Amino acid sequence: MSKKFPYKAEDLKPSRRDFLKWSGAGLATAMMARYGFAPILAQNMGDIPAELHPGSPNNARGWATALPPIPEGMPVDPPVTVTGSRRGPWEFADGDDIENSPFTRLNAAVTGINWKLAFNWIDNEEEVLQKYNLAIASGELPDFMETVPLQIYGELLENDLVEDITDVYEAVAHPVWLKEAMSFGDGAAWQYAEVDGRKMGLPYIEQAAQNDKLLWIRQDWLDAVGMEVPTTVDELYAVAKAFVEADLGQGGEGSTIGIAAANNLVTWYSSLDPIFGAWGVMPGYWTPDDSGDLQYNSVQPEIKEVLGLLRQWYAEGIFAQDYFTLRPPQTAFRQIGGNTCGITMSPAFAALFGLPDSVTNDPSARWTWGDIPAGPTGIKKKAWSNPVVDSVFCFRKGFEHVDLVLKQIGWWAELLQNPENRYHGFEGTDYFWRDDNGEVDSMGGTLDLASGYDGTKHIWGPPGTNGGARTDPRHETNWIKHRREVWANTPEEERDAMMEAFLGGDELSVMWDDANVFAVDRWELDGIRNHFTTFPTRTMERAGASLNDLEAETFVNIITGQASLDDFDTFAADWRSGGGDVITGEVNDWWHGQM
Amino acid sequence: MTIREYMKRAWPLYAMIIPGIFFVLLFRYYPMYGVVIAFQDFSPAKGFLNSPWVGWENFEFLFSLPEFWRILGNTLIIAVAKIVADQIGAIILSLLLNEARMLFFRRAIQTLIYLPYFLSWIVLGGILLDVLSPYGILNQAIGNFGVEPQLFLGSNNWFRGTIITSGFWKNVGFSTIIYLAALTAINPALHEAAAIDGAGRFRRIWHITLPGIRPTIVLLAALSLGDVLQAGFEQILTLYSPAVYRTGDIIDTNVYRVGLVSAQYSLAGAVGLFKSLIGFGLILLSYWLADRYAGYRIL
Repeated sequence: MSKKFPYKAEDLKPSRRDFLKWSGAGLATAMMARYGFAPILAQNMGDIPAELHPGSPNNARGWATALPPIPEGMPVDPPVTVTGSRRGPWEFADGDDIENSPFTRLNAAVTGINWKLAFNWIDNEEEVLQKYNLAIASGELPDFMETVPLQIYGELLENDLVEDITDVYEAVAHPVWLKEAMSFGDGAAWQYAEVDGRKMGLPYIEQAAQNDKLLWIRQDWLDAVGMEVPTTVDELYAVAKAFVEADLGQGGEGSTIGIAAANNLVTWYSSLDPIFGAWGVMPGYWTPDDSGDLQYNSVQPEIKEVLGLLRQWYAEGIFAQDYFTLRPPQTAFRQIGGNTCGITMSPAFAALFGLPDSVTNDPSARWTWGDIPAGPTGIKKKAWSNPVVDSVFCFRKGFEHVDLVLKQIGWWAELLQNPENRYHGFEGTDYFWRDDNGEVDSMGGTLDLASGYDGTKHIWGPPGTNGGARTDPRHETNWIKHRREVWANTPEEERDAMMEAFLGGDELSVMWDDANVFAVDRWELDGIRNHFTTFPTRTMERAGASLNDLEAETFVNIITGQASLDDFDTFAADWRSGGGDVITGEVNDWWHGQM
Repeated sequence: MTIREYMKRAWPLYAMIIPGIFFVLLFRYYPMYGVVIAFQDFSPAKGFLNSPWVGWENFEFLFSLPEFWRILGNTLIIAVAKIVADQIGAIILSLLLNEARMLFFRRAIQTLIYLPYFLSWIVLGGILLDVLSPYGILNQAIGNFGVEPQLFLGSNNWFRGTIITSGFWKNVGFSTIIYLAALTAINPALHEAAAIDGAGRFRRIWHITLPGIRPTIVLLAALSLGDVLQAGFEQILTLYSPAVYRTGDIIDTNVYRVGLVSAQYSLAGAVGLFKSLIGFGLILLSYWLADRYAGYRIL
């Protein structure tokens, strides 16, 4: 299923390495004299004017972007205008806006499609529902609907307002950057976008292993107590206990805590999901039992064991006394950033979120990372982060240019995700030159040098969507590997400014790269997957919230000692009789109907 | 004067209120037909006209929520305590400010207590979480007196108190303004006469100032009855956690969580209607009270 950097572009077009190989030393030398390094030939330019081209080929330390082959029959003549919804926020250089930016200008030159903004929303759950509901109620749906939330998608389907794109997709979708890229996990990508075998839109896919946890730990504290990076839950406890007792934190006396935890036990930062995973269960998840039926994990006996352990840890001061009032970012700012805590189970991006604050506030802080700890029986599992967001890109029923938009999406998917294209965005929009020594700087935070070239994505379609949508979930990791395999082996005098910016990263961003590659490699091995991936069932709609409350209350009361551990049994029984049994039946009806 | 003569003279006045009436009809009354969704299984795609009717089902569901009585109780307790604290606090504060002699001091204090009113709960929530944490400044302060750290936001003993106090802190400045305005309307001659007759400060407050602002007190107190089911959704949403559902979960926050599972417009509509009906009854009551004790009436 998982291939190492699978998408070689050689078969589609000559790559930069090929070019260098073919062109011979003479041409390369001539180019270096002019550019300072040997650039990629601007390929597939067609009639596209040079000023629309991404990259900075005219700068002494700049680079050229190789455009993917222009799709057949494009740009269409006469041009077509397509309306689309968008998720904000965005920021452009002066004079540009979402309908007229370097992205749309290049796009219009390549495809002949002009985009018109139907409506937009800032990243906000209520606002997006409102805007889509309004569009539905007024009967004016945009041609292309970006990241439609699941409940709106349900409404659209129910009322037959979505175009079935199955046949067009088969005919025109990019064979590598759409079809192959989205074929991971036995069709997992299509869990929402496909309904009864028909494709009703394009999936919203994010980076693989985005929230998969690793163990982040203070190396300097480990040295201080003379211990190693823990590999089991028992060792983790011993280390955390030692940190607390040695009171190594920066806060007032006795304020050091052992392990960062947040209001949700299974969450995206400072999570305890690897502890539950060490017993093979995941609260809130539905997983198949031996007989193949889905079971709700939160009521399984293993949960009680873990809760008992967490209860003991809380009593011993391993967790903050008020951990259950903290949102995940607050653990990052206050506990990790505030240096009162030296252990957090957080994703690879912790190296960029939380840890930098810690080092700023205490320059002697040295962090390291390791795999999640194993349980008493050697199980090592964590919550699997599903790269498929419960949201779909849809086309309005009756929209006649689905084929054109799909071709556009395929073209951008390749430009943005194929490292061979060397796409780093547009000068003046995504970055600008800081000085003549060949340094680049991000502008308005839109180009994050450490996190790949997808910080700014302002063209309609999954790979261009603000907020991390793409078609290949391993795209970011592919970039890291490409940099390490190709850029790092490029002689120093041939490197351009972008290569240098990346290769000369600080300790934490190198750590982020390492952790990211590791997490993605373990992604499909260590993850516990929530197998219930559809609309809430009837009884969930009615009783789900009460049952969730009951669970949340019971768990926090058990851990903080306000309820006895045996209250778990009462909870499990109440859960079953209060609608849980009915929900289990409904969930399994869906589950077995799937197979 | 016949009606005809009267209208000849007064018609511009009537004409002037027409836009106002139109505005109220258009923006206050016309949208009210939306309450029908409380009796439907509403779907935006089908609209008001075609969504299936379900009778009282949404209300039955609301009242059958296992937590219903708990959340209703929490809502009432928190809202009533807030109203009482807010009114009494505002009266006392405005009396104190009114007695302060230095104008600069008075203005400075007034501005300071008014300041938090302009901050959103999202911002204040972050600040309070820090200030009230077991490692926060408040616990460090009481720790100096040998008091154990308290979980102001995480314990059922403290949560309501924290909500009421922080709500008071945020809003009291606003209520104080109205009382201060009422206080300026009291004839200074009364104070001077009382002072000559030998009345001290407290006696003057009791016999002149308080009776002078009595209509305002009764009116504001009566009008705030309409808020008796508004316990402060944003505030509680930013500050609560499952550990304090027992004492801090109100109708709005509960329905919000129900809505998170799936979009339940109709249920939200039913809750809105339920709260409006209670509010309507209380406004009638407060109107009667205002008439009875403050002589305030519309007709």
